[in-house]
Amino acid sequence: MRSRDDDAAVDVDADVGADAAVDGADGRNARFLALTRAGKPAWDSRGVSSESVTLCAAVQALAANAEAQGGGELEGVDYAGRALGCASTSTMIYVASSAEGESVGVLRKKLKYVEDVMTSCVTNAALVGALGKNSRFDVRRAMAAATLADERLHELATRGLRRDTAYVFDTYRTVGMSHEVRRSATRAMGDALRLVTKPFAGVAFGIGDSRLVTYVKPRGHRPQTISARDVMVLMNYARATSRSAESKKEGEDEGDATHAESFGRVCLPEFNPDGFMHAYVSYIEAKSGDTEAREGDEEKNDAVASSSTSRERVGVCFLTASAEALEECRAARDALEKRLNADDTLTTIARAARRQLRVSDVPEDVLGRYQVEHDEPLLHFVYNRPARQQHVSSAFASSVSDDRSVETITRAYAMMYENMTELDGTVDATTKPPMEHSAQRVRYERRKRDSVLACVGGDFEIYLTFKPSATVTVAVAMCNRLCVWLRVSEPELFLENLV
Amino acid sequence: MSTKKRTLLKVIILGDSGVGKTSLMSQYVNNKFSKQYKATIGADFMTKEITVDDTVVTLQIWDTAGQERFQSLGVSFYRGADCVMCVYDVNSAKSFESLENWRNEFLVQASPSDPDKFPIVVVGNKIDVEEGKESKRVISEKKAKSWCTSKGGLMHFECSAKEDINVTAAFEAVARFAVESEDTEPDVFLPDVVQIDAGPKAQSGGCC
Ligand SMILES: Nc1nc2c(ncn2[C@@H]2O[C@H](COP(=O)(O)OP(=O)(O)OP(=O)(O)O)[C@@H](O)[C@H]2O)c(=O)[nH]1
Ligand SMILES: [Mg+2]
Repeated sequence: MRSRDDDAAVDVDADVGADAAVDGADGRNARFLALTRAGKPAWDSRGVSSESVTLCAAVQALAANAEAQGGGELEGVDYAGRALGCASTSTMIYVASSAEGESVGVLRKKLKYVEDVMTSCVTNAALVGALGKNSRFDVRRAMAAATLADERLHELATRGLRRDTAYVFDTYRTVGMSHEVRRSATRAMGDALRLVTKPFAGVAFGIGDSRLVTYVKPRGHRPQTISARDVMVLMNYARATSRSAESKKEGEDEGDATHAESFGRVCLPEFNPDGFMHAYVSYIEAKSGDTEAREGDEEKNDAVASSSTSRERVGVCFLTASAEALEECRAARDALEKRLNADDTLTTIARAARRQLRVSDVPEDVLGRYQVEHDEPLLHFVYNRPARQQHVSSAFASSVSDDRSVETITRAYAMMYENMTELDGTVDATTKPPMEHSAQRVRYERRKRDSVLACVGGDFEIYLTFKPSATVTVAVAMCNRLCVWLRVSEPELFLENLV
Repeated sequence: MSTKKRTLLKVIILGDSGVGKTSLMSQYVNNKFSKQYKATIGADFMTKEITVDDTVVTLQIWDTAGQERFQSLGVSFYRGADCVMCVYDVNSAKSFESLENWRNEFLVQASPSDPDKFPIVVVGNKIDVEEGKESKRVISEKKAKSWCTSKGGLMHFECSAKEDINVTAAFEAVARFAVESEDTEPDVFLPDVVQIDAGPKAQSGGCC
């Protein structure tokens, strides 16, 4: 920012360049920044510092420049291999920067989620109201007053946007289980929800990775479903809650008697960006003896199973419009736990929630020959069903299950997804009638450490990561077989559409 | 951090080209002064943290371009400013006459809620320049002060970025002024409303 030889845009770039150096030192993290349109920081994924204050001024200058040149909204800048994506609302500007070769489009998409979580913490009405009344308003004060705002944004930036495929495919993830078990869980949840005043929804989810077990709305409610984005907002809230509960526990040395629970405000921006609801988050626990179940379980290296969980648990969340419903939510939780413990449904669900679909779970007659004869080339896959708003993401093979590899593959998917959906866009944009639903587009990308095959069909998408040694023929053959099997297995993989 | 309040103030420095806006900022933030003139293009930003009473204040200082052809940013960046420093050169009558324009332009563009009370600090720079040399002082302190009074009592400082006279005092006054005029606003604005479309059934409190 100090050299002033060139124009303002170059000045700003110079700062981003300095930023890239910082990035190199502290890893591959993308950086996220939320600022008001006045150029004041509201949140910085690296913590608000004087450096971010300067950076925010620079971003506002860029935005002002774009505005002054009649260029409309500032979308992004490329600087020496580092992309800077920007997205603006009427009150805020969101910025993401990355040195990992992510496109401005991919970064801008991530920013939608930053915006979602931000809105979910303080609501759009607060931002518009406070900043509309007073453009000098310091949004950090609103953030400080919001429930878990820091935790939630931190969780989003450090894990969600980096490793969770939900944010890549815009659909939420589910726990696979038999249709009957899921149905029992759903019914029990529906009944429990009746104990709560002004209920909005009830959700059960896996504690480790926030995949959904079931989602229930009271009868007669509209809309019947929830948008995937709101599910992600909610799961983000639940994760932040359990994280802060856990850290509290450590400090207080709490006994087993008390359940970790929370009752706080959360806004679901897709449903209504201007108002809060109250979310009760807790977990239910299988009462049956767990030791033998554990031993019988072969999933020793399951990345999902948190080491501290020695019991079979499932997360639950009740959403209500009543601020006084805490006791009722507790009662609903207890009732649900009791009911699902009447037989071993809860144990079954909890075990399912701890377990991810593995490549080795795919029956032998589906992939067997290829996996065996070609040295297990398939490392990971994602099966996405946009119409259901859900996807399945397999466990990562152990050779790529470390955070860094997961991040790399997730990024590769994000770029592939962008390319494939861009293609989609051009198809739609042409005057041709919507392509026949049988149309499939396939793309195979060889990369240094792995290769990604993407296939977009009429109503599904599949993305697979292979060892670099896998030939195209093997990859395509496996993809085809997997697709057929996944389609048949859908009743177990996904939540039923409730409409 | 615990007891102290934290706040961020956006300060915009306005004034004709060459009056020493960049020099004032650089003297204040980095204790550096350069004789060489390099026109500011667009805007420059610096950040400085200071303490005003019991408030930790982060100043986000915007140094703007005085030359019209370099004012590529337009004026939308005035939005959200907490304080303005209007600078003139005590040796240049023209720069003093321009103050009126800078102030008006700012108030129109930023449209603060209470323009009459908006914190504006007027700074006469280059008081170190000796009479009789290349230039001489043309704006007396008295003249400047009376203009400030006529504008509703704007705060006034005479400074030298070169000799570091009164620079810190001027910026600290800016900060104090802004902090004082800050907290008339509502503290935290978080709606408590819950709007859930519970459907027709819930309205009637229907059974099940
Ligand atoms: N003697 C003296 N010279 C000064 C003082 N302040 C600035 N100057 C000189 O005045 C010239 C212009 O200073 P700048 O700070 O670049 O002026 P500016 O207002 O930023 O100008 P623009 O960027 O074009 O708007 C430079 O040559 C400075 O060295 C001062 O207090 N005393
Ligand atoms: Mg300058």
